[in-house]
Amino acid sequence: MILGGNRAIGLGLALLGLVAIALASGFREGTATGGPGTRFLPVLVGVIVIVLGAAIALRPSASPNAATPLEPGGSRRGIWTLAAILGYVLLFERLGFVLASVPFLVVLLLEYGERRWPVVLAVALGATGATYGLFAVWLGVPLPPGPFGR
Amino acid sequence: MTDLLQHLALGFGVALIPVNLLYCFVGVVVGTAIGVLPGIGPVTTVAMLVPLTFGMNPTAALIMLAGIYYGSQYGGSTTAILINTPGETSSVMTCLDGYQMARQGRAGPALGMAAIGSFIAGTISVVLLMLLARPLIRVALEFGPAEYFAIMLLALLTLGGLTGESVMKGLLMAAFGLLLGTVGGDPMTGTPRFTFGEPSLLDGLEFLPVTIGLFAVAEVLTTATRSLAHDVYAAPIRGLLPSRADWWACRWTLPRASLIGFVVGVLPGAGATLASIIAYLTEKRLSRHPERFGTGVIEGVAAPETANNAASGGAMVPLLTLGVPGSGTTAIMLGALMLWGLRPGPLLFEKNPDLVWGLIASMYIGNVLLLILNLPLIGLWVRLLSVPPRILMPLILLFCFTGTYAVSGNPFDLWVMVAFGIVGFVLQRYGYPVAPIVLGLILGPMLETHFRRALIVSRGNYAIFLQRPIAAALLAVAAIYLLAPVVAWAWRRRRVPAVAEG
Repeated sequence: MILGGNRAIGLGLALLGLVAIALASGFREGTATGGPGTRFLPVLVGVIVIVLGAAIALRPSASPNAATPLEPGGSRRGIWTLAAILGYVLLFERLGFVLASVPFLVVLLLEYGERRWPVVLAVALGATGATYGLFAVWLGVPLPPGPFGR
Repeated sequence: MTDLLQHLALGFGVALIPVNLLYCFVGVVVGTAIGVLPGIGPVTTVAMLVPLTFGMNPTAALIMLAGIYYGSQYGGSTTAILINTPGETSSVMTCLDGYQMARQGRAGPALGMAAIGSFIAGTISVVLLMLLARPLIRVALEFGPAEYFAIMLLALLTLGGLTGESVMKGLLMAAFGLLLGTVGGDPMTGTPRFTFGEPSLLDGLEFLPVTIGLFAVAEVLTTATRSLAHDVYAAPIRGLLPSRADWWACRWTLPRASLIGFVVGVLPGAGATLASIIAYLTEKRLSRHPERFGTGVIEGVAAPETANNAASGGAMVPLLTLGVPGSGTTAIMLGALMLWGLRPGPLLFEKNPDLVWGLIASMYIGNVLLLILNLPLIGLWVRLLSVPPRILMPLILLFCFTGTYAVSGNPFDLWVMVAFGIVGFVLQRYGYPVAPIVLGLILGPMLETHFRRALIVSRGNYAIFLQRPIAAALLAVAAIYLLAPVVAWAWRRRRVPAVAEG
């Protein structure tokens, strides 16, 4: 049987509920003042998640191919976006806001099909500068300075 | 009545302070712009802009966020009418007749009626909010932990059940949100739960990175995997004011859709989209020429656009009076209020009357600003449509990352945002609504606190939830809501074999 995305999500969440119950078994059950303790809600919600997740995973009407098909090139753009995001988070504090943001925007703009270099550079530099001005200068929020102090 | 007028005077005194007026203006302009841009809805925008408000006075911040909320309902109609693409889900119904009117060369009156209908609805809903708030507060002041638990449970069930394509998926998402809400210290004892030794999780999962991830990052990932091509509207727009015949056709539509929108908006979970659908279908049913709906009739534009704006006013009622959000956007506003150290509910009216009445008065002003701005600036909104997604999407990501980092200065929150961006992308691809997750995450700790407090009061006796009439009634509604689909399903299954045998 091919496990479609719809069923896989139901099954995945049911497993998450099971893990939550297992982890919650070490929590305190009741309180001296009466009523439930730390364990109660995680276990109760864990059970609800298991029941609903399993119901979605097992119900006959659940369409295994409910997702909308991706556009041509969509998968590649999605993977590039994700890779750029992960790289940006890794470099955000190490390189600093400005040095990390400009290449991040350049990569995404090129990947999304903007081929005019003046536009790419203007958008990347302008947006980075404007965001820095808004947060660091106007709101006074400290953004990661990076190795060169910015 | 004198009391009400005094409060309103206080509110206008606050709302007309130049800085608050400026934030109201900024809110409605940004809201309209966001509404015009397809794909970025009010939930995403409010979530993205919450970090900008932390250095601000909470009153000014709330005025701006509310302006974005109802401003986006105005803007959503523009793309629906001009390029048959709703700026957000609550403008889906506007496409049916609005786009047909544009094709017939009547884009101007359609846009004009959408703006005027939104103004009328916005004003009516603010008056109703003002009138309804005080009696509701009197009731809410009698609430104890049992009642608060019951109403929060009902809100969670209805928002979970009414958003998305399937009740079961919505409820599963609400339960998932509740489970996420249990991460961090136990709200009663402080005992850590599911923190895995990570100090950043001791205070629980922060709602902002989760929300920005689920909505904004997921939206960018979704757009990236689709076509990045976009439509541009090139034809000139003339004659924005509706004709006398248009006004006559909408004479009952405008007040009727305002009332429908407000009532639906007040109900937890229903929201602007459902309000616009109900208003459109009501007009079609009551019309003498229902067959003409969908071919470009002005009532088909006026009804959904009036109702979705009235609903955003209605959604403020449970948020401000009970501290229970009526929609995804107000759930984020509730989270923002809590981040500012404020607790929405009846006591907010007593402790922070300037904030609440200032907000209500600002909504009057905001609606006037929107009407003044929208009609002359229609050319600007059309030009905004020419910003291609290939430029817009990277900018949204930059803003999400900077905003999330700005709130806590903790890179761990960036990882949380990315993780929930991926989760949101996958869930939305398979038709799972993500708004109930946010509601579960925000309401979860409060729900648990009220539940356990009620049981401490009753010394562990669960009957307290049935002995208190309001709590019992709310739980009965919740039970009916949960059981009705099951009973209906069982009834259908019993009848099908009987009919087959007959």
